[in-house]
Amino acid sequence: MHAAERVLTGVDLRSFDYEDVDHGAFRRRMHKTYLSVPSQTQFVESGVKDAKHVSATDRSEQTRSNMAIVRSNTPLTRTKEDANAEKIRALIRSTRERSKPHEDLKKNQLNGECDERFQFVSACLAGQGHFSRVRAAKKRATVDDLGPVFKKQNVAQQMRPQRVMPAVTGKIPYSKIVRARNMKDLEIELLHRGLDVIPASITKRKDELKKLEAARLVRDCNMERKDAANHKEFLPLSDAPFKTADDD
Amino acid sequence: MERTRSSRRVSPTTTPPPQALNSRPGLRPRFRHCTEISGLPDACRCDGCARFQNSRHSHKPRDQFKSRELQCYKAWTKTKTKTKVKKNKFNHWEKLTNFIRDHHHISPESLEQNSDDELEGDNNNNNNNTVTVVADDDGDSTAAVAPTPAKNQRQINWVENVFYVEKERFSIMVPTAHKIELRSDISRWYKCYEILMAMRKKLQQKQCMTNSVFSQTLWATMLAATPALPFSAAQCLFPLVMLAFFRDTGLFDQDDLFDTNVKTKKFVTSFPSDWVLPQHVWRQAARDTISLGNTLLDMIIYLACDKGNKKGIGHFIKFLCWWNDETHCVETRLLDMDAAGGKSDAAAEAIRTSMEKLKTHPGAATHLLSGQCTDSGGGGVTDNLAMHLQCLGLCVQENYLIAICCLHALQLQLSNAVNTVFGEGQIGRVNATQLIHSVYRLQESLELHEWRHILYKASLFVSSFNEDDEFEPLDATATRRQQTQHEHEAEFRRSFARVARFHTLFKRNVLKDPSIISKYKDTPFYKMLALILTRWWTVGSGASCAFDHYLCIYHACQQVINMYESGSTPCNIASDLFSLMSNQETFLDITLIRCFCKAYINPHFDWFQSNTDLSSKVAFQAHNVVARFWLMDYDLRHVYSAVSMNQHREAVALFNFEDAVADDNVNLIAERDKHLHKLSIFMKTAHKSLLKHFNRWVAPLLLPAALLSETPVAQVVASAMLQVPMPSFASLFDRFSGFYNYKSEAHGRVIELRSLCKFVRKEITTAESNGEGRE
Repeated sequence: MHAAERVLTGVDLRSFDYEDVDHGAFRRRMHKTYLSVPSQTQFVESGVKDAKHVSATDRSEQTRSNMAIVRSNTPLTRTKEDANAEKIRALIRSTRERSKPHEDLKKNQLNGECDERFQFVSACLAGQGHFSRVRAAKKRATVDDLGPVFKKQNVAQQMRPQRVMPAVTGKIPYSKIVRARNMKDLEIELLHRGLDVIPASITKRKDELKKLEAARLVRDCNMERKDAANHKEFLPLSDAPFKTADDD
Repeated sequence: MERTRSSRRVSPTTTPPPQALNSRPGLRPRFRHCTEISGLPDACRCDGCARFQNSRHSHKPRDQFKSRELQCYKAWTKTKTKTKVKKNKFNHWEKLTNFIRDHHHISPESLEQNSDDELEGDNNNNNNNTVTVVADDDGDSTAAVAPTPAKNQRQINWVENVFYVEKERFSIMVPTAHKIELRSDISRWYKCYEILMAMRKKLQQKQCMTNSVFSQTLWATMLAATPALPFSAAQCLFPLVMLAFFRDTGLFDQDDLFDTNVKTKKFVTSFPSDWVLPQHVWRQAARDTISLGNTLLDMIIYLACDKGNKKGIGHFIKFLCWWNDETHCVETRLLDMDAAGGKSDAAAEAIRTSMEKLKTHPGAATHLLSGQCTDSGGGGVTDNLAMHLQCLGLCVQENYLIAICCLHALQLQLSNAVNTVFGEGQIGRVNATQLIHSVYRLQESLELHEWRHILYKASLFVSSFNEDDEFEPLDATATRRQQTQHEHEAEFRRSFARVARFHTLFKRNVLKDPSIISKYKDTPFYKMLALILTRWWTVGSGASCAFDHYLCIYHACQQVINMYESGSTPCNIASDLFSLMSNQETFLDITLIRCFCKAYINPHFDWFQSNTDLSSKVAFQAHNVVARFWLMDYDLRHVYSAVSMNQHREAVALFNFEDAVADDNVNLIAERDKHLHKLSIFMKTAHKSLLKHFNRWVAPLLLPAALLSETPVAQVVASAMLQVPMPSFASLFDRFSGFYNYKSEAHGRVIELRSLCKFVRKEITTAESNGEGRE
């Protein structure tokens, strides 16, 4: 509300004049508070993409994360002109800028505080203190806790009959019956099943066979009429050979 | 027996009379080494001389060999009384002194004395080398060293060395083997020599060791810059790179560093191994994290995070963002990408562990988060995540800002609308989503160059196809097979002609032969991406591609069906796609998606992805979101009148026109009503999604961000916040239209301020009714 009042009185909060006696500090606070709020997370998506890069060669989770941290601090973008040379220069410059403070810290440290902190952070990044260990321990605890608590078996858990292949059951798929091999077989089978007039085309012969087989299934196997009609195989009742493959 | 005795006995008649031993120095030969004593048997020589004689050291005079092993013992300079002869040298001393006495008739004592004289003489000679500086005719000073002539030495060649001191010329004659140089030059050379020796030593280590932080950082940087390079490959690469790079400098020429056998040297062990390399990366990551912690101490920090599963690990990417006072720019840095569980509590726990690394002391109340930005769906996002972070004490207690990704929210509008009106794509379904996905699947089922060639051939057909041209009938001599073929082609042509009437803006030009072009981008040959409703632009891009090349793809389907056996994957996909494309209603839906993306989604996407107003950084436009919210709302209300929607209007107008009968067009009217109904639901769903996801930005905590937008917009928002009348923007008022039009540079659009004011007030009320009171 205070900021709104200032805006209505004509104060320009967009200015970067932080030295202004009346409004400088307020502007700075507003900028710090609101300008750094992300409005979209595409740069985080770039992190996801980076995760893909550092995941190459099946590195461990720790190494991936470490590489990503270093990459985040490294200038890897290319300039339009003299791209390669500029990139190398930028890498060296960045290296110097990043290493110098730590050389100074190490040189000027009291009571080994710098070394101590380095040890702590290092341990957090890769070692006993890494979060993956905590996560893994939690997962193990969940297994220990919930594994022995039994749920009621769901539908998918129920046992289903095994699918037995036609080669085992002796049944023959209709789709394997072709004109070149099985015209005579169909004739024998249909005659055996009591059909008097044998159709000329194989399609019609198959249709007749399907009807007869469906009737048999309903009669002998107590199958539902609908299921029987959709049945894809038949059991040869005659002695017809019903070859399902050409001779070699 | 007697003969033997007599043979051993020295006959007094044959023994020469003893000669007087020579004790005069001038007449005595001057021995420097055993080898200079003529007739001395090898057995009587000292170890040094024997070694020298057996070696191949002949490239320089004996005097110049300084190694201890090759020094002559000079036994003749030692006497029993004066210089104590070592016990192990006594035998040699005795033999030598006897030989000199017996064969050279020189008293050993005199030789010892002579040696002393010689030493003294040498000293005198050195002292006698007087330098005479004389001025010549030109006034230059000439310094000349008068050499002491030495006996039994090689001839020395002299050369004049000229140099200047304080503009005064000096000239000194020195042996050609020597040269006078400036002391500073010598010092520089010495330093260079030391560097070179250090380099050579570095290449001969048992293992790679460096205490230099710079070196460690550089190793880490270069490895991080090349993430696809495995450490195991890097450990082999670097020695070879070094060798290749320095081979022509002569660094490896000398045998002591790198011989042709290689295996005897330590060169190969001097470089970091695949154990050391990750150590460098690890240490650098620790240093960077410490630096980040130091930078962010007592700063206002925001967190942006997202999850991404890569190669079996669910990486939880955490970025920190803050405002840099000095550069006036937002900065972002990756905190880490350690994996985390999918739920909010697991995400919060992961964030806690990550933030702990920034603190100087574990558990310190520093580095508190002031806000967050996440996607708006799934676990570990928005308010639920914030609540868990609060519980863990990771956030500031008050005014914690919770933002959602505007790009994600924008895409959700399309996603929700498509899912509600058309449904998700699935094999067997007939809808627009499945059509776009099938185009991708067909492309994936074929080899890319094959697919490109099919498209090229299709473009030839499309460009030459004319509905009015009659399909040439076959002559009477055609075989049955040819007749069947002809019938099939005629059938396809009829289908194609029908589809070609769906729209007038299909691309019908001949494509370039893909085998002769090198860049496929911006051509239909460019590989299409999989359609993912929540991934940015893939939907719009897929719909656009399908629309533009509808006829080519249609013909391509038929080609694939012709080429592949029935039952094969490409044939199945092509058959499905052919069926989908033949459906004009599905085509209408594709057109709607394309036009909606073009007219509404894409402009706003572009703005969110490119604007850097005030923050100097893309993705940090919280201050402009309120105005953009109004623009999106405005666009969505007026989207159907946009020019980009013309294509959809045309598609609706052309719908099923071939079936329309003048007297009986009831079905046609019903179909058109259905499309308008679909359109209405599509827009309503998108609008609902807009309000749902963007309303957060006018909530009391985030609304003050809009006070940093351009002044008129900021003042409108301020007046709405304070519930006072909108300021009178007299200069912006347009008397003719009655609008307060402000041309916003940040948005590149005109904003009508009164409408904005009304909108903001309304949304504030809605936000309040949602339970977030004003402060």
